[in-house]
Amino acid sequence: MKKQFVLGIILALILLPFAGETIQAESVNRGGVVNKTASVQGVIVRNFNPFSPNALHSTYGGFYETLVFANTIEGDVEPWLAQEFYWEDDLQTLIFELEEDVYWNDGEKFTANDVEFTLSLGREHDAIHQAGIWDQGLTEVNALDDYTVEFKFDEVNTTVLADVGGIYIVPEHIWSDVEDPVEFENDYPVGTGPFMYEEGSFTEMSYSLERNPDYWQLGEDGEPLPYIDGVQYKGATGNEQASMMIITGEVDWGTYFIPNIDRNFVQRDPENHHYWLPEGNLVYLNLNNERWPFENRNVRRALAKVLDKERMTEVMGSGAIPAPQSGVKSAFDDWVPESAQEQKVDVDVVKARELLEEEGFSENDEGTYVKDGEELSFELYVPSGWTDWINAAENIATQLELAGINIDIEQVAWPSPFNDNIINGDYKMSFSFTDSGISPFYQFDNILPSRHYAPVGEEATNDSQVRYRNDLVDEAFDGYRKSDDPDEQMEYMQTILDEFIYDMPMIPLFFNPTWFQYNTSNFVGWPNEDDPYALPHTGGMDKMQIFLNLQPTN
Amino acid sequence: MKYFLRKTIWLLFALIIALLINFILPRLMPGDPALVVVSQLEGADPEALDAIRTAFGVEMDRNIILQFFDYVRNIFRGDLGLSISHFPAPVWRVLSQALPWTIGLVGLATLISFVLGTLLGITVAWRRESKVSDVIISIFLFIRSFPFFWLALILVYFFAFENAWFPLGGGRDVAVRAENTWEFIRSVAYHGFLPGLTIAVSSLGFWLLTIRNNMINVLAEDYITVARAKGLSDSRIKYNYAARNAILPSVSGIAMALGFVVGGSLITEIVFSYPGVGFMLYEAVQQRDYPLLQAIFLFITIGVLFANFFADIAILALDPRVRDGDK
Repeated sequence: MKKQFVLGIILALILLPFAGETIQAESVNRGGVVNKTASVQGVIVRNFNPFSPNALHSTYGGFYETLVFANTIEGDVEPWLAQEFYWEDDLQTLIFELEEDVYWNDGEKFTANDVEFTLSLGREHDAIHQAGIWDQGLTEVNALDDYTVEFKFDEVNTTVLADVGGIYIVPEHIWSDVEDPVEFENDYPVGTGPFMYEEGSFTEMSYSLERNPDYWQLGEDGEPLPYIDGVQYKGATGNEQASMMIITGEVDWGTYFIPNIDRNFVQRDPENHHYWLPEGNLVYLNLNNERWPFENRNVRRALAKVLDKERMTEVMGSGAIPAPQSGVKSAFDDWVPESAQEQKVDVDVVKARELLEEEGFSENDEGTYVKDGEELSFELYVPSGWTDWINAAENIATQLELAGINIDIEQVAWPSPFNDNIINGDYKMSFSFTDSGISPFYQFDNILPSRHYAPVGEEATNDSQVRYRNDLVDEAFDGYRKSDDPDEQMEYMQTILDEFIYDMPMIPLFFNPTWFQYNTSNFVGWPNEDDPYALPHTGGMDKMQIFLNLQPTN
Repeated sequence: MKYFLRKTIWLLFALIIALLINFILPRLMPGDPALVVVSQLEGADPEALDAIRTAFGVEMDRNIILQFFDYVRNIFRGDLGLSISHFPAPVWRVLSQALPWTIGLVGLATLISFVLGTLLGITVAWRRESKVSDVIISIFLFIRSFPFFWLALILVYFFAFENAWFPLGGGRDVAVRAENTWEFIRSVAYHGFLPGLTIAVSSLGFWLLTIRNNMINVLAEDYITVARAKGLSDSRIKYNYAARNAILPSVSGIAMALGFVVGGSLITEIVFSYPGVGFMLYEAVQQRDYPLLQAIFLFITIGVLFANFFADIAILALDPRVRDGDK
């Protein structure tokens, strides 16, 4: 029963993209090697350790897989190595029921013991990537039988599902002999994934994968996925070099910024050259709510009233997508309550000036607002060399000048000391970004809850925190976390958004686009605006849906 | 002999100073390298931070002098530490991906341009009254004056992007494995042609002009006139009398240039997506990868020092005055 359900989902995923295309659903093409940019600048260093921050992208999903797949476009958690997962009634025990027909690519069987072992690695080694899982209330992980694992927590928090289910599972029979999993480079990965490392293919700027002939997920023809024979990753030193590779057709899948994309890329071959730039991470203007004048809600709102993000992204010309005041991406629009829409701060410079004047600010000779001898004049921190953000910062300075606010742009090296300033509160205005998740909850959870708060001079617990405190918001975050009912969670989220839009503790600016160009001359089945079945993001599991869906054209 | 000894002692002394500076400089830079790693390792706690600091050898509270001795000892053991931006790969593994390409491409291009430039320079100076010489010199003055990266971009645009005569980038064809020796060499040569041409063409002018100017001075010397009067053959005067003296500054120059080969050629490597040290150095600076930076600087320093040492030895062989002064 369960199995059929999973198969149904997989089938639906596979069938979906072909609806309306000329390819018949029954006829499946197999073969071909997809060429893809490696998303690494310069020399590629071999590293297939899924617990290392620098592992090559194929490690995630290509070799090693997760229990569940957090689909950030659909906004839900889908089965993967676990065919079913659910919370026990007390919401403190999470059960994963595993697929029963999965083998490691060396022939050994994949069981619940591998899951238990993988999690134990994180407990023993603080420095490995997934170690943070154990700080989220996880107390034990037990294999109940060969295909059932339970995760026990000491508090109720349903939002950890995507995190704990998103750990890449490694085989116990290999990794139990690894002396130090932190410094292990894992040259010959043994995983459950649809691809295997192709022996001898590693060079300074390329490497390739071949299909795992015994992969556990089946295609429409009843044979194991993937349809393609392999993937060839190709490196480049930078944006321009990688763009040339996708423009000339040297790669099928591009992940880089191309200026003037319609003319430079699409027009070269309108039939086959396509792109889709869905919304990625949220970039926002980080205001220090603990320091003058941003402890004043009306000053923050005045700033939000001035900033015209449409104009900003137009000037940037990088494909960035303007963010609404709620900071919620369009895929999650139904999370934004009516009430929040009403409170929305519209762009209106005149109103912004009035708001500042009501707060007792008055213009000085240079046209800058002053109160009690202090000017509205700030340094805006932006990571040095991040050109699209620097363009945005310059545009912010121009726009705020119209409202009597003076901005000096300071470029600082990222991540240190750029983040040091934010963590210690030694700033007034800075750029920041936050990861999005499977609902708006996750991005705001990185910023708004008062658990991140620390007085200026002391270290706040998150890189992207604005030193904001609001009891209502805290309660709503807590409520959301303690519920597994989507409707209830939506209500809590709406409270958070209501308060957020009223308080404007930070100003959402734009979404970084997810760079994605594709060429249909060799392969079809790419996601796009009409069929957004997966986020074309190359880092985590998202890309696997695409690799498992691609078919050669003939 | 005394000259040789003096140069050797100087080499050792310079090496120690270089090691010391190489050790101190990264420690003077602002920003905490461990934090860079931690920002990549999500969720690492303060204990992990200390573990990372230890792994990278940036132990803040350990005696700085002891740290220096550890550093020197590790270098002699061939242990250059772990790279920060490629953690957990050791620096040596990262660097060895790029070093052969850089030495091959930049080294070969530099040597070719030196040999060609010098030979051409000698000829041009010898026939300095002919029209052809004027034309050649004008051409190279012109080439020298336009920027390096412009030439690289033009080459890549016309010969790789618009017309796919040469590859857009990379060191070799990804499908060619090193086992097929001939095919591999052909592929490397094919990929290295445009970047090599850029480096060779843009530095050729320098060698040409250096030797030419010296040569013209030397040709005005009395001993050349004497040689002519003695009825020596033209080629003997040209190479053994004039060029041998005129080449001395060029030898020092090429030593310097070869020393810097290890540092790669940043712009060429970026434009041609070449897997070299220059771009690696640039990335290491951006990502504050101190262990990698230190290693690259170390190689550059050692390269320059030894190249100079060998240049001094070569001059000893070429210039009798150095030997005579020794007596």
